[in-house]
Amino acid sequence: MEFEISIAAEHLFSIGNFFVTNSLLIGVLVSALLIGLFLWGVSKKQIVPQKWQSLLEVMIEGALGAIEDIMQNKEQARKAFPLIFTIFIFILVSNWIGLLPGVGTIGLLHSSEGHTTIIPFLRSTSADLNFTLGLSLSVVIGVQLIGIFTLGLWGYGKKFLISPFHKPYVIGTFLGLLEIVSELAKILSFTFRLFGNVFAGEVLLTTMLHLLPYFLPLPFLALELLAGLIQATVFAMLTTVFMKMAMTEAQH
Amino acid sequence: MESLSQLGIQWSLLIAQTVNFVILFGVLSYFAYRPMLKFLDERSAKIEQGLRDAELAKKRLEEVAQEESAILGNAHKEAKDLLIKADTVAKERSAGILLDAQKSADRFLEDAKKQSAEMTKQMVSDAQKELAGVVVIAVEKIIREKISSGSDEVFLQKTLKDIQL
Repeated sequence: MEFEISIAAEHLFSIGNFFVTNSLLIGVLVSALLIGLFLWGVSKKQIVPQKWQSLLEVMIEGALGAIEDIMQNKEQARKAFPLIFTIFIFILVSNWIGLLPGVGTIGLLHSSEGHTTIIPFLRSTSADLNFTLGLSLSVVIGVQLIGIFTLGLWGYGKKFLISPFHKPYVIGTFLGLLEIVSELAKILSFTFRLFGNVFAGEVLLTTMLHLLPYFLPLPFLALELLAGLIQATVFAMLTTVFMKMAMTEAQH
Repeated sequence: MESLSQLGIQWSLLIAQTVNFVILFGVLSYFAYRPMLKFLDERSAKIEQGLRDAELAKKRLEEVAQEESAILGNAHKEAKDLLIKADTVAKERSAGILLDAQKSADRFLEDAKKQSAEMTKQMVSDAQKELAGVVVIAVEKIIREKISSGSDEVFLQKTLKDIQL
């Protein structure tokens, strides 16, 4: 029996024409888990918080404080909070769930060309380009929308379309075009940073596990635990910064 | 497009993942973050209110204590003043009474003296009168007896008149 490293998420089963992959499955499971936990925490809230509620409050207040620190504006932080916190918590939980024993190793036996490989039932959502690309697209499009809603279509558009007849002349226009390129680059950097880190981590762990199943993977597991947190934070922080930039009037 | 599918990117999966995330985002922001943030705001407002109230109560207590001590001090002072005043008034009054008593005693004494002097005078004059009457009668008697037996009636009459006047 061999293991196979596949960049693409593996297909598990199909619903009609639609193939469900293991990473989509874990995405749905993580979403359900998060919704359940949060609604449970909110529904039982009391003035003096108990265990889970106080953990929830610490997370929410901590995140809100961090966003406020970056944005330097309480109201904007309040508006940006839901998206940023959802990104953070979803990436964090799905990264960490990918580290649980069995997530990468228990699955369907699959035979092809004489090899038997395992298709894991579950795969960290972030180790699937479909998810990271979808998330990046949502964030970048969302950031443009926030910019337009905050500054108006023209106010926000000034950042990209700069008349060549004013002070910096053609240079300004060129810089505006570069801004458009950088927005597109954000999608790619978001997508591949998250995917690359999480996927590499999973490959690393699987490799170590097959080299020596005992003790050797432990330090890497700890490292991946940290990396999962860091990647979630990085994604959320960058989103915050981009949002703040979109909400700030362009200076020319 | 070829390279995209080699990386495992499929439109259907991309959309499915995005929709999944958007649903999570929507549900959490509407049902979890909003009530939670509202709740946290309410609680911090409540705590702030409580702290402010406590501060106010403390201040009020201090004020009351101050007022109390001020009132007590005042009352003390007033009582002292009152005592002093009462003392002086009493002293004054007793002195007045003494003076009055002295005066009335003096007056009584004087009155008594006067009365006694008058009475003495009266008595003396009364006695004089009576004595004069008695002397006259006695003299008359004596003289009458003498005259009846003798002369000089005219002289006698004249003398009697002199005495009486």
